[in-house]
Amino acid sequence: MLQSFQRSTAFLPEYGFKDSDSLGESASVLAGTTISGLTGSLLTLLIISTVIILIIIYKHWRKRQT
Amino acid sequence: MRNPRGAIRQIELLSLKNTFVHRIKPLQQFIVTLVFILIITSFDQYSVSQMLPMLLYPAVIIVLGEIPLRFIIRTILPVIPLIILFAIANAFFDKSEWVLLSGVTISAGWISALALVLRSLMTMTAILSFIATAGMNGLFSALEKLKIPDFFITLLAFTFRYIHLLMEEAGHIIRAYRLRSPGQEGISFQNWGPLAGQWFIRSYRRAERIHSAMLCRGLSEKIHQNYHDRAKLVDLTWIFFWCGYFILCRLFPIPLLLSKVTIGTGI
Amino acid sequence: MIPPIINVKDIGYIYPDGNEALNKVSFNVSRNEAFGIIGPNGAGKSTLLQLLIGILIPRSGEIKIEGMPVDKKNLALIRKKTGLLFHNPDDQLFCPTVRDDIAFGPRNMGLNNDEIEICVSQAMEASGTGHLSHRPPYTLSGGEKKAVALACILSMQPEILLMDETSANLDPGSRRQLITVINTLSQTKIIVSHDLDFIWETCSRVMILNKGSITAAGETGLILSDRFLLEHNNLELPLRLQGCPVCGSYTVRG
Repeated sequence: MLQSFQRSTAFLPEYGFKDSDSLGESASVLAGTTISGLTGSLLTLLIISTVIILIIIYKHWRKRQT
Repeated sequence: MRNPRGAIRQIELLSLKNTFVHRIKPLQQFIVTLVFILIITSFDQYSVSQMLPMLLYPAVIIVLGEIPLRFIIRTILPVIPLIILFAIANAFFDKSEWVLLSGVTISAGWISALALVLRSLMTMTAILSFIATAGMNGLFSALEKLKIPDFFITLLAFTFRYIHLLMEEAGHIIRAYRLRSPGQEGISFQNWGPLAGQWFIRSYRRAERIHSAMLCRGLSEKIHQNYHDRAKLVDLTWIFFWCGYFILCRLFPIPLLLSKVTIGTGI
Repeated sequence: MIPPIINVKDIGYIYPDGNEALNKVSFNVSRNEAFGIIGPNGAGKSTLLQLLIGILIPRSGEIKIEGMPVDKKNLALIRKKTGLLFHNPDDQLFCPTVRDDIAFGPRNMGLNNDEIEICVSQAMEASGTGHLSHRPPYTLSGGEKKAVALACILSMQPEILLMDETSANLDPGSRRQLITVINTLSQTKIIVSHDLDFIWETCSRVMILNKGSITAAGETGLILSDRFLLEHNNLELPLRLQGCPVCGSYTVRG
């Protein structure tokens, strides 16, 4: 558990070049080159875009109100 | 590409706006930007998708702070070739294999190159957005509140002002040169030395006059920054909201969780 | 007898390149007096102002402001009492907004936020720059820059105002506005200018400097109407005394 905590909080963790063997499935998922990675990335971008559009609409609405 | 004087002036003009983000105290903005940068740099070198939720912060600042996207792009543009150079070097040196969805194998360096570009762009956008909303004076007052030694803040403030002055003097010299050398492309090689000398002397003398003006108005060993009132609830909420969000992004692979929720697969 | 607020005795100054800017210059200025200094280019007028505020230190002689010698020990106090308006306002304005620039001096004086606010508002009102408060100084016109530079000095509530070529590069409207503002200020004023009409309207006493020495001093009307004296010092009569080129009539105002 401590090891996983250290891994997630370390700055520039393992910034050495890895062997091909060490690059497992999880790395591909985090990079977004698997189906779930790609779908998740697209969904994330979609959500961010929606939030931004909502903010823009709200700002326009506020401007019109004033 | 644009001249640095124009960029500096635009930053100052943007920081004079009065939006929700501009009203957040510079210290709180500075802390959030700092935490953002630290968390962005802490991601694994291949974590492209895990880094994506972090995009929300610069995007929200740009929209709420009414910062023109063109300004961000034009200011970052000169640095992009350098980032791409580093990214490509990364792609060549990191030779480990990476299998894509279609079964095509590429060098893992390309993935880390993509992560590097994304990381750099997000970091620079966050810094620019901070400066464009808090202004340079906001940065100095944030540093002062963080108890950074006065000497460094004064040095930074003078350096910033001196860049302004250098650009202004260079502009005057080049304009005078062009007006007296019609039809000539650029500055001829034999004039580089005298013009550079003139540039230095003029800037130095002008800097001296400005310094005298500052002394006449009571400048001692430090430049007193514009103290704002105490942090309000909205400033503290701003810090807690964004820092909490960044930590969530760092600890949990949000895109993966989203994909699990929607298509029910983690692979 | 009330002692003078400014007492200059036998001062001399030589620039590092060997150029003698001032030689045995002596004069007094009374409290609330408006004192003009005129003279040709290179006469030492701007150097004299820099000596009065301690930017330069005289090689010989002594300057006293309110009885205090202008030296390193008293410099902070003297700069609180004395404000210098520079020839080029661009040298004086360096903050992102007009308000920040006007607040720069009071902030350095260690005032709190409320006091700074009062000083800034008063200075903006006196100089008529309230509408410029949030503008960056580099976007202002020449006249507006001069007015803001004056506000920067006034915000420190000095007892003495030193003005170097204040009316230079101003259009007639801005110049007139500046004259009105200056005439409403009750502080002691030393005004350096080539604009003899400006001096006529703002100063009660005047001194001519030429090649670092005083060649004449006296009441403004008396000095500025002496054609021979002015021409001898590379100056000429104020326009108002030159008469109409067609009919030869005079219109004297102020």
